[in-house]
Amino acid sequence: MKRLWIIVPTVVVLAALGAGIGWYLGVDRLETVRGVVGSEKAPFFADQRVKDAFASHGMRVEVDSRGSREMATTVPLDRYDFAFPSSVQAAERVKQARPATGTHSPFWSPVAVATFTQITDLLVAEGVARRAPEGHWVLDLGKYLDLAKRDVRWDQLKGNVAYPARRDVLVTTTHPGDSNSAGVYAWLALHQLGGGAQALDEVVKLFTDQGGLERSTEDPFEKYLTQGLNYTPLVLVYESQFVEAALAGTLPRNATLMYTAPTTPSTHTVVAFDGAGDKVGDLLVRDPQLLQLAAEHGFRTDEATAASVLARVPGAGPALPLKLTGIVPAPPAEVVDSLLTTLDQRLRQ
Amino acid sequence: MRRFLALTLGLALLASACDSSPNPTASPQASEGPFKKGSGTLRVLAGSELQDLAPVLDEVKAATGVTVKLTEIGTLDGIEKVAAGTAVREQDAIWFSSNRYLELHPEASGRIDVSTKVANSPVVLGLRASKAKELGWDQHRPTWSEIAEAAGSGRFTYGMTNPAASNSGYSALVGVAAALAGTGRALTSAEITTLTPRLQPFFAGQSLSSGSSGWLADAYVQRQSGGAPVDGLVNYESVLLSLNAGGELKEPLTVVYPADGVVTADYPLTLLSGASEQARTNYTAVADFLRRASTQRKIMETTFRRPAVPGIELTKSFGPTDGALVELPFPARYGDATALVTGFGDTMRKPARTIYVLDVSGSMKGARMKGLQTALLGLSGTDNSLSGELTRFNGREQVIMLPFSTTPSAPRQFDLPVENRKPVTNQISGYVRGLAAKGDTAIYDALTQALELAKKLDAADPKRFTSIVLLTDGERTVGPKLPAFKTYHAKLPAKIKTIPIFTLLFGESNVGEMTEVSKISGGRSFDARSGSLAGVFKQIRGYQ
Repeated sequence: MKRLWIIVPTVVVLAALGAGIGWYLGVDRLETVRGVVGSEKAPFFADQRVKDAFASHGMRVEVDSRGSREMATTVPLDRYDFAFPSSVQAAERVKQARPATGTHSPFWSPVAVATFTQITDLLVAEGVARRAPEGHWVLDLGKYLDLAKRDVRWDQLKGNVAYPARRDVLVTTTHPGDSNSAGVYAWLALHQLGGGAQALDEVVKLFTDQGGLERSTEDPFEKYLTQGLNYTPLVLVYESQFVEAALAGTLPRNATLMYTAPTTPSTHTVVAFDGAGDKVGDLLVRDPQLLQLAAEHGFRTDEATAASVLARVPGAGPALPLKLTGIVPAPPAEVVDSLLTTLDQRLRQ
Repeated sequence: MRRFLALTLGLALLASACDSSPNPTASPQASEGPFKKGSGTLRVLAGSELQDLAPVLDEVKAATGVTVKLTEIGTLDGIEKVAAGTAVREQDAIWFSSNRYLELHPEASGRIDVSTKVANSPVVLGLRASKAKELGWDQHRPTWSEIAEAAGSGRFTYGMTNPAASNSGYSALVGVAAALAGTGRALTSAEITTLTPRLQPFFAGQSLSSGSSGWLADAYVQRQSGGAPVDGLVNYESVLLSLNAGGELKEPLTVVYPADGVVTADYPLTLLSGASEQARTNYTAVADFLRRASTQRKIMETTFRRPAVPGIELTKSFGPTDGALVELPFPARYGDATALVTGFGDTMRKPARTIYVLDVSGSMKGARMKGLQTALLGLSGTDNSLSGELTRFNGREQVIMLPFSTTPSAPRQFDLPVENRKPVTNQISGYVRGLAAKGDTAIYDALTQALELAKKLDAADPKRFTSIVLLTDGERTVGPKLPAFKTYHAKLPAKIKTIPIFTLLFGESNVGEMTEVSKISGGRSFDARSGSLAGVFKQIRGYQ
């Protein structure tokens, strides 16, 4: 019994020692790096394999999702090591809001329209959509803009029993003042319409006719995934989101993708504010494992990787082209910026 | 052996003391990754309809270490706090059923940070099964215009929240207006005037109003057993399905999904701009937990909200999918969104008859009288805030002031015209400024007189939505007592007995009696003992 007086302190000391070692081993030595990213890239950063890849370089990357355009307006950039908007043009705006130590463009993705096979059938019958020689669906932007201008509703399309909704034929987008994808869409539309004041009015109408707009591209796409055709028949997305969902098996019934003709690439660009941000950008550009993972989340890196990923999209899924035709080069940043500033004013008045 | 036991015990004790997870039963599902951690409290300004997520929030606490503290507020008051920049002083985040109106508000939109959609639920019509069958809507899905026509011709009655106070009512208003406009695109202010005559019949069928979706559902249940039951409710699908599962309904509700579409709530948990780093960490941990597949499934199964995250199969209880339930467009601009609500109050809704029974006994002298006058002057047009604009006396409203002390004074009636309300609101203001405090407190004499007056007015002009507000700062001192009033009240005809009496707990008023009076009439009591009287008067406007 007397020995208990020895045992208890010994136990306490041993246990404390053990707990101390456990604590030392349990706390990782990772450097936390913070970024604000376009919402469509949030699933990539949330992927455990991506976290592990960064961890092997001693980093833990924590991200918040915001619209690419919001990053240059309402996002408090001071608290981040990097921003990761969805285009070079949006990156330029971010750099104006906070000076950068470097920029890195690891991958790109075209904007496209997520839809349903019964909807493409209707649009084909209307002469607005067609199948490209490579097998993927193409939305003829000019013809579509004409329908939108004339306020044609789904229930006015001839022989439409698949979706006779009393709603305009209109692509659902985010707010061009907040989000890059809507900005790209606005620019493509304006470009197609040949520019000028009347064209601008028509572009404004593409947004005001939709009504309330989401702030970041993942929001409408997620509603497309969860609510399907109930939500809306046409949703503006990045191709990457669709490929990612196809690989994850979360696409709604009869889902398919249409590429706008013309379309333009959106080059996702890291704007680093310090050394840690630069390291993240550099790894994204150079690390083969991260590049492979980016491709598996649907982003286009090099052609060979894209080919291997697209080949894995389930056979029953839609045709996705390895090479895109009808690509117009992305416009200079200042052109996009002035368009979006005007649109933002017109929409918020 | 003894040494071994002691060692084990010591380690076990120490291990449990060092364990950072507060609840060892909360372990993440392997496929969903480890829980993100936070600490302390995430303070959230939230809509009342989110109270049913309390069990999920207990799990949030166990998994993340973050206590989510919901402070209940109406959607509109919430927007106003965000817009004024005062919300972030006391709160970290907001959580309403929708941010659409807030995102249109020029001052509010820049004051929110990241947001996370947590669930979905469309605003639809629930009708008791026999009524749905009688209308044929158990077999055939009516359009909003068929619904409006049936409501206008008195074939069914329903309850709905006030669009100026609550999101479900506002969503219904947007939905029915967009559907009746039938343009296929977002509604603009210019179209609202033309639509008004077609919207009026729909709102003529409304016989129960409320400032919150939760209270509306409770009131519906309570009204089942009275003499004037309501046939149905316009509310979130989740509320209607929860009522069906709750076991308190005499007759189940048939959920009617309008054929031409709905407006859907998406429950965005939203961080406020300027929130602290700790709040941001807590927010991230909470949002991560709420969007896990296991949590989403639990939210779906226990609260009947549809999941916000892909890959979760809907249970059978939910309505049409695959394009059969069209989403109707929300207004694109703040001005249009606001014009719809003010138009609802001034021209579309069933006009209100609002009787204020006001204690002007001696104890009201001074600050209390001043507070009462400020509140009523605010409703008469001196309050220029957004909530002031949306709670002011409306066009076509009949406002009756019935002050009392030792005896009730003669009631004074003001009838507001559709347009040019100013001369009448000026008269109300003049009357309110003339109120003076003196004498005893004859509460039940005054209430009896208010009900007799309502009976008389209703006989002459029955197409109004009548309600009574009772403000007193003390106990009854003269006249009949509560039991006598209850006997009188019980004998009233059903339509008069169900005129809701909204009582204010104020000063030294008798909490038990005030609660009782509101309860027997299907009203509600409001606590004005702390906070401003004007705020409570505005809150009550949602129920009138």
